[in-house]
Amino acid sequence: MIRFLLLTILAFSSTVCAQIVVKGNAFDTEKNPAGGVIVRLYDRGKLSAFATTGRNGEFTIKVTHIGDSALLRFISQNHATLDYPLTKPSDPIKVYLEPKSFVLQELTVKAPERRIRGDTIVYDVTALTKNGDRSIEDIIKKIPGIQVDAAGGISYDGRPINHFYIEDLDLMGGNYVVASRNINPSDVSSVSVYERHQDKKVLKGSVESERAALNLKLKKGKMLKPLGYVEATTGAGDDLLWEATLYSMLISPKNQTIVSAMGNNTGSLYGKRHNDGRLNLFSFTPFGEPPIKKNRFVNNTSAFATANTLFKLGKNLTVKVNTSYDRNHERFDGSTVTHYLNPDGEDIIYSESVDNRPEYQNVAVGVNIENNAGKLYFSETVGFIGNFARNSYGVTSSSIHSQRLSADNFSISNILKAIIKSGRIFYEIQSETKYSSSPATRLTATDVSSGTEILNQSVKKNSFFNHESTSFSWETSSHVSLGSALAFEMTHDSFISDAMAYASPSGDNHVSGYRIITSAEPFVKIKLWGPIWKISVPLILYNIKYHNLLTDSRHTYNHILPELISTISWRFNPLNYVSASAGRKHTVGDMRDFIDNPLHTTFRNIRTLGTGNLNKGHEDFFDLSYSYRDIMAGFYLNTLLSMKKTRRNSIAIHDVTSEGTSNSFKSSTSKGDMTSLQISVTKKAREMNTTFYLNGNSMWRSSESIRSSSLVKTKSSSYSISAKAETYQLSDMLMISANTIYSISRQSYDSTLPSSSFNSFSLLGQISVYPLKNLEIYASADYSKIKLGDNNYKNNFFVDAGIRYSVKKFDFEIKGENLTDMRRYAYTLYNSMDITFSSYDLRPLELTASVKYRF
Amino acid sequence: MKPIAQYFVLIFILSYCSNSYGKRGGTTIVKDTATWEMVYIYKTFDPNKNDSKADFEILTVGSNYHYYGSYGQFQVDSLALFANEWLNNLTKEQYRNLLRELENDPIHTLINRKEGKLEYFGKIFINYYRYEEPIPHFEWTLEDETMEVMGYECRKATTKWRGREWTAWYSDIPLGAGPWKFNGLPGLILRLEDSKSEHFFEAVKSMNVKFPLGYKTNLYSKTNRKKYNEELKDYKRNAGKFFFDSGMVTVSDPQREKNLKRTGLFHNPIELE
Repeated sequence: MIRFLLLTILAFSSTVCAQIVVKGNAFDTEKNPAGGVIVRLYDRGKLSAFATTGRNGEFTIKVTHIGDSALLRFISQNHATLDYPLTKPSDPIKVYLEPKSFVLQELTVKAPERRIRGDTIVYDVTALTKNGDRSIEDIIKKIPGIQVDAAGGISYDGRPINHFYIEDLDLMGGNYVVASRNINPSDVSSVSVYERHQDKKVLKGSVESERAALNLKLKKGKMLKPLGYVEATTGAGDDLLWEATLYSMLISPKNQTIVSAMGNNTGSLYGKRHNDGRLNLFSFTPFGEPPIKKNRFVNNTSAFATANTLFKLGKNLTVKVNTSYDRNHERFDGSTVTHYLNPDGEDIIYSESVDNRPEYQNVAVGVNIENNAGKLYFSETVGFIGNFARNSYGVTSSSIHSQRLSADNFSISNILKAIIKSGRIFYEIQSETKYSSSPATRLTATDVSSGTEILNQSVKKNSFFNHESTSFSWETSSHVSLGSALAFEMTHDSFISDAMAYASPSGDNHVSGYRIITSAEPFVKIKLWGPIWKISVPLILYNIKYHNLLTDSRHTYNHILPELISTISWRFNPLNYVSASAGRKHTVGDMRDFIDNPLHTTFRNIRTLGTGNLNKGHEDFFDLSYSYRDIMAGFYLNTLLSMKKTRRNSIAIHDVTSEGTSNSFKSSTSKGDMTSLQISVTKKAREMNTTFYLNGNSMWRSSESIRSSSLVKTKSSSYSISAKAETYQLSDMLMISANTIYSISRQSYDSTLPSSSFNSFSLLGQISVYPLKNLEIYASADYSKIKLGDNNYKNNFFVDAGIRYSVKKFDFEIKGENLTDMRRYAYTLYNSMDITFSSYDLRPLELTASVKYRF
Repeated sequence: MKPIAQYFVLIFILSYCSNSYGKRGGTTIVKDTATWEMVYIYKTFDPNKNDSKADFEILTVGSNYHYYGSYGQFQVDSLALFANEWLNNLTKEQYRNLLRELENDPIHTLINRKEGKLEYFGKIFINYYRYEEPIPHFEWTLEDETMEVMGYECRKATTKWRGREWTAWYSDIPLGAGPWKFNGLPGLILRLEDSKSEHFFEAVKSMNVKFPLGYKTNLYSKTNRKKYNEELKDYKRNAGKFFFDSGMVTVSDPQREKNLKRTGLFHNPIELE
């Protein structure tokens, strides 16, 4: 016992004695002691200890460890900075400092625009807000690294955000656009970007996330009271125009509620188009639509309502209910001329004009309960989604046809997730069950001139989906984690089609069966000196059985396929991050492969989904991403290189006749390659009050298909570059924004088909002037030049303008859209071996006046 | 500002200041030359009154001394030492602010880094006090977290001091000082907050300057830190009583007098111990 105590004391003594003392003196060049000098000890680039010299210039630093690359840095307001490599820490140090007065960088901060705290960047909304910013989305767009798409979806570093929080609570889930486009920036104090946001507390520090989240923090005094606005608009174009909006939210520490209702006939559409569910057989716009803002060409009657509430029942426990309903009735007319390349001879040309009358309604209800605690994550979500479409199209070509589609689809889902942390061990369980049904999708077509029905097809689909997964991981040390993910996924589908086509070939289908995937994915994750390397080897067991009831044939497939995925990521300093992943994944088909009789997707287009054999193939991939972000300098660079090689046991067949087109598959090996490169650069020049954006995209692709019984190998490449500059001048009284896009696309074929190339150029300019604090006069011009053929270019030019005046809580606005009164928009669309020249009617010059009241 | 207007403003302000100094009976002693200064916004919250307020305060730095006090008060003190040059840059807004600030408490701290001595100058009701103490020692814990403040990359450090837990963000600026009496980090503190978010300092303006830095003598009664803090606490809690006891206020209604005597002022001291 005494021996044990002695050993303990000796061990303790040795620990104490292990302390390293760095001593020395600092003098000026005249050998006078230099007092008040800060001495910083850096070990491996990190500040590990420090001292301040006394009146006699003496200093002492005590540390427990010093590496080979240790350094002393002497900083003083009366001397030049001196770095002293610490080669022999035990020897007393003498340094002589050159006299030099410290000169402070003179700065005045009105309000700090951004703060960096670890992986969180906090942007001050007041500092970012300029005249003319109407919603918090306008502020979010200015955050470096953020991109907002036309539908309001927000991405950061090229990846969609995983949460849109208000006061750190995610009320809206994926439907955050309602909030981001309606919250007034003057109600918000800051927007935080949570980089690499791990939303589950139980996984924080253990499982990295690639995606970011945004959080809005409201100003003091904006909580616990209703915020929002009502707006009414009226005007004239070809018809009387109207629009009405109500947006209201109440944010408190224990409850968040957002309610909104709106309607218009000014071309703004609500919600998303959902047509016929998972198989997506019937396009919503089968005869095309132009790639411009919908309010340029769509005449509509639309309505939308949503109600969302979240209750915080405890520190980590929340319950939320989200409901929404939207209804859109669209009308737009256009004409298309499609050239189908024909290896056997002359191109086959379709020339049609179409009156589109799509109409759809969506309803969604979701209830979620979530416990997001440090040791237990639990989330249970029950949802209902219903999509109901009643579309009609009038098509005029050599004769006049009328086509109607009615498609109802609804689904009920239950999603359960749970993660338990026990020491260094994680258990994860995930269960998703979904029943979806399209009980009656009917496509009918009539030859109007003769009044005879030429197509009557009905499709009925049912699907039951269940996914169960569990995972286990163990941090064996600070550098190594081991684990495995187990998953079970079962889909039971049935599909019945019954077609009466009087002129074209078609057949009935009746298929049902199941597809079960059981996978085990062991992985090892190693934290090296800086990089994190994860390698996993998923083993996937497929049990597939489908029964074609018309032919009474049965198809079974039971097989194990191994995959390999390796990912390495490395943040080698605060500015640079690189990630690379490579591996092989298998693709194994589903029920669609056994729907082997033709289906009409329009009255003249047929599609055969399968060959009667299970589709199998694999994909080898390599992705490399690199980002450089110097937030201080306002400079962002993101690059993403993606390469894929695919092999499949089926090849696509695209055939065209004067009667129509058909798409099907044939059992034969096919190959495809794709490489894409995306580069995005943002530079904020604060001294010029200007932000520059540059985006470049390129894609190279090769594929094989069959047309007119001939194998066609297609090589295509496309390049686009876009540049944008936004500047505020004259004390923010003037805002000018210019956005230009140039794109070029080439296609070549290794057959007798001629190669083709197309290019387009567009320029969007915006100018806003603020002669008074509350007065905004703005105008925008949108110009594009599109190649329609050799030496044949089409110019499109739109001008919009308006004036807005704010007084107290009211905004008054008069707006003019399409001031050049353009009536037709033309563009070219090239898709593999087909080229479509389209022209669409536009909404005329329209003038509106609106009043908005904020509360 | 036009020269003739400057002249009248100068006469007015100097006469006002000399009157103020005359009342306090102080003379000015120059100790150092100020070379640069940092302005902080100071936000404080009083949980008892559920009220908050914000002020600008300034740290001015010389070779051996540094001064920390109210931004407005700093301007008045500088005026006495270097009035003309300062007045040349006076704007209308500064002039208005100055007049307001002239009525503020003349509270500041002067730190003699060479001798390791801190002098605190304060005011309680109508009385002026000063006390000395050694420059406080802080046991800082350095952390890896970084934050940008005013364009400077700052590192995090934490400490417990006189009853509160503090988080400081210090820069590479070569001075181990900061707001209030905080010091001892290997760089100037640009942001400082306590764990209850009752006190918050953040740098908002930095300037290179050159003017005499000093203080006034024979102005303040000498005391010590403990007595001063107790007296200040008593005054802030019972400010109404101080007024009545001084004879400066008389109220005929006894109930109103009782209520007014109970009136306290905004007070949440940085130092609890």
